[in-house]
Amino acid sequence: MSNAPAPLDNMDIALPTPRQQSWAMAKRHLGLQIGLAIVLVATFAALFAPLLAPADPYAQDLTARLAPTIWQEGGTWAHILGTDGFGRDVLSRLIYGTQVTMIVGFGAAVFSGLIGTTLGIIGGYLGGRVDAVIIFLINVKLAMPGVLIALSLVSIFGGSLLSITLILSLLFWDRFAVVTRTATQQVRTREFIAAAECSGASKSWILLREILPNIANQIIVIGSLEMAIAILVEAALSFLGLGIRPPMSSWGILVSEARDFMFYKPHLVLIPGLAICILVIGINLLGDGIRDVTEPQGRN
Amino acid sequence: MATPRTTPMLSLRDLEVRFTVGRRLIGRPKILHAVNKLSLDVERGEFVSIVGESGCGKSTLVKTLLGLQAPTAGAIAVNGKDLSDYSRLELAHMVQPIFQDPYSSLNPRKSVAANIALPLILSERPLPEQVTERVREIMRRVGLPQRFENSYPSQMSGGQRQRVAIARALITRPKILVCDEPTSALDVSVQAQILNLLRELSRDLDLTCVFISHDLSVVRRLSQRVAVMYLGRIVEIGKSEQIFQVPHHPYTRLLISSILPPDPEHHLPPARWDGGGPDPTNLPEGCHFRSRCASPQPVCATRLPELVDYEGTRVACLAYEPGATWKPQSTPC
Repeated sequence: MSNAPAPLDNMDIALPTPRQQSWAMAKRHLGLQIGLAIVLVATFAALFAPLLAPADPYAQDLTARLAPTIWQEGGTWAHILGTDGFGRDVLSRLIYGTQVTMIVGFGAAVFSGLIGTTLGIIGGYLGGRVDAVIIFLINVKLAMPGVLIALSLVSIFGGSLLSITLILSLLFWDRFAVVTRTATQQVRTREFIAAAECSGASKSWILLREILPNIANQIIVIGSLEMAIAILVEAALSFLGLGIRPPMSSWGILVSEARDFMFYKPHLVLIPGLAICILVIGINLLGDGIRDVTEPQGRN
Repeated sequence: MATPRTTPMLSLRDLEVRFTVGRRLIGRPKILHAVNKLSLDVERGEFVSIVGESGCGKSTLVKTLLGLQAPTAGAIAVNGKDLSDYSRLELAHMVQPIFQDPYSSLNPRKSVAANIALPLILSERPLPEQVTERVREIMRRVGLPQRFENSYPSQMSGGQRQRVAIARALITRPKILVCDEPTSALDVSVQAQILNLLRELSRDLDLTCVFISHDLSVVRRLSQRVAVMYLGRIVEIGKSEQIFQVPHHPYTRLLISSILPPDPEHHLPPARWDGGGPDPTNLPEGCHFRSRCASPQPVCATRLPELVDYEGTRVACLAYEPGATWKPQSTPC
């Protein structure tokens, strides 16, 4: 045993920085790339809907009602995905509908994530009375029948984009709160929190810089789940006629409008349904991918 | 430094930490005295170990020293100033911890450099270049190759992680290092490296060390003084060699006899003293150790012994008080 602190070995090749490591991992992560591609395509469609849509999504043409899609017999390039019961171009309505779907999905996931995560980590870290109040709030929320309350609130405040997004966020924060609270309780007892306290870290530093990064995985996973659920609930509200009002378009409205023709024109339901399905899968792949790439345990 | 040489770096006066356990709707809650009227002075640059079995209050004492747990009664003075008069950052500049488990004491989401830099960033708000420079300097000092700076704790071994924890504790050049069993989670071969490193750093940087351990063989090599703790109280304190060569208190003898020497001829120590301690939430009158003592006397049930000077050490046992007519039996082994 020599007296000098012996170097552990003689190699001195620096590892890439954390950012480089994440980037290298992202380049190999197929799920992340597919998810990112789907979400980017949807975002792009939402942002540039007026440029991308081949036709006016609101223009009715009663002489061309229920036109077939391009792959069906008699389909034309004028209406690639056919027309709906009012003769409106389905592709254009789908592209315009992306706007509502993405705003409601992202908005509800972000707002409910903010509310739920804030309550969850504060309750989990501080414990005691603060935690008791937060548990009470969570229990009250869990006891409420979500969709029923969404229906009554939408019927009171109307189906504007903002009110739907806010109502959905106020309904979906509980899962964030439950998960982040439990995760925080697990992280809180670990000694690096005590070490940060001994280094003079403030409560907000510990919550935001020590605990939050360690529960980010759970938040990302819940976030992608909540976003998917918000899109589905928006579709359900639209289907029930209480969501965004026609003639505005959302993917839920498309499904809802097509239900009269479901049995002899099933593609009118299937196309927006498939779009919802692909976007939800894409969001979940992206969420899982971000988790994998930022997860230090996944390295090496 | 304006502080006179006589002011101890760390001074505990009648320190008491109580917890209420098993609070019930009806009936009196139980009180657990984790630390019970404990007094201790640690001089500047001194290496003091505190030993004792699980549940004797070592960890609570550590938390109290670090300001993570408020004492119920009594006072802690750091460099002559009461602990409660320190701001969080001032205290962080004076006292830094090294925890037991290097697998949980480093933030797994931060790189090694970011973990080490935390106390520096919080207390001095330096420029990024200065942070890198100081981190590299301290990493060299604790024997960590520079290539680890972008690694994550999960990529390192236990010994390497403990070096990271030591680097983090020392980057702001604190005066006092509180080590809470820093080697008990490590392999024996790595323990020696970490202990040598700690001893060397404490000497070179003029650190005052409070070293908590239940491993007596570790303590003997490192410390100048040893305090033996039993149920929240110090039962014997003195120079390390003296305590190990001539232990007085029966509990100290029990602990020392339980060290296993690397000799197959040497049989396991007698187990007959193990267990049988009093309920810590319901301590009896008199000496708390008497139910485990080899030669308890009737007088032991009447009075709780205080620390008294005896042959250069201080012992809390009635047998060593002036005028006592008996001495505890030595350990049969």
